Amino acid sequence: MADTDDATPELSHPRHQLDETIHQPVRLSILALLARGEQVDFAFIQKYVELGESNLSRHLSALEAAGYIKITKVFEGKKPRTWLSMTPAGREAFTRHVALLREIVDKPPPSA
Amino acid sequence: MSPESHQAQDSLDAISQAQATARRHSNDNGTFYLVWGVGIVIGLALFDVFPGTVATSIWVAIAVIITVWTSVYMRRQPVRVKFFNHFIWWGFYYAAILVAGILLFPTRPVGLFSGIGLLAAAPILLIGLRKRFGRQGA
Repeated sequence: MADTDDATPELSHPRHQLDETIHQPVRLSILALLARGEQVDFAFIQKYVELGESNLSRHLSALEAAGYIKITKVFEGKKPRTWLSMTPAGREAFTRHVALLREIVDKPPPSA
Repeated sequence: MSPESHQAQDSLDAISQAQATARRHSNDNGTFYLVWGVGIVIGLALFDVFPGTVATSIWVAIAVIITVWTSVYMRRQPVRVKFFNHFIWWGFYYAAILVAGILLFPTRPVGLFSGIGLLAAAPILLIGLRKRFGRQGA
């Protein structure tokens, strides 16, 4: 018979609900940039987050694997360009994440 | 404020900063409206300074240059957003102001076209200033 006293206590603090895929600072900045636009240029994001191409690609792959972003490679004239956009799931996750952050900020500190 | 609240606030600040940067570099950052607004003021003021044919020629040249600039500028912006193009409704307003000005002042007093230009450009200049320098929520 299961011992109910050993059960995991209910985790009510909003920090437990934060999405770890998004919470990483670089990914959070990437999603914040994407949340503002329909499409954002890869080179612009790279310049903003100050990361090398391969390092940034790793973060983008993680976000893409989570289904939060879409990567589109196109030719504009003869110039290759990579555009990133947020998926509806990404937008929803980002909105939820921001709401949780606001909740944490607004939450009164535990009384001593 | 607890350390967690501090971290959360830092994250929110980083989000605001990223979004402000994205807005500044987007194709809807207000520059397009400001350039057209100034172009319209200058273009119509030409009709107070030069004879009609000369003013028309310069105004058409200015309009062509701004149109080409708009196309290049919009394509070069690294953040693309879908936005409501106020120019669609502004076109009707511009036409109404121009026709009303000419009908109300048939003698075409000095400064008429400069006045029309200022009145016509005012809404798009205000939209441009608000988008360029105004605070917009994340």
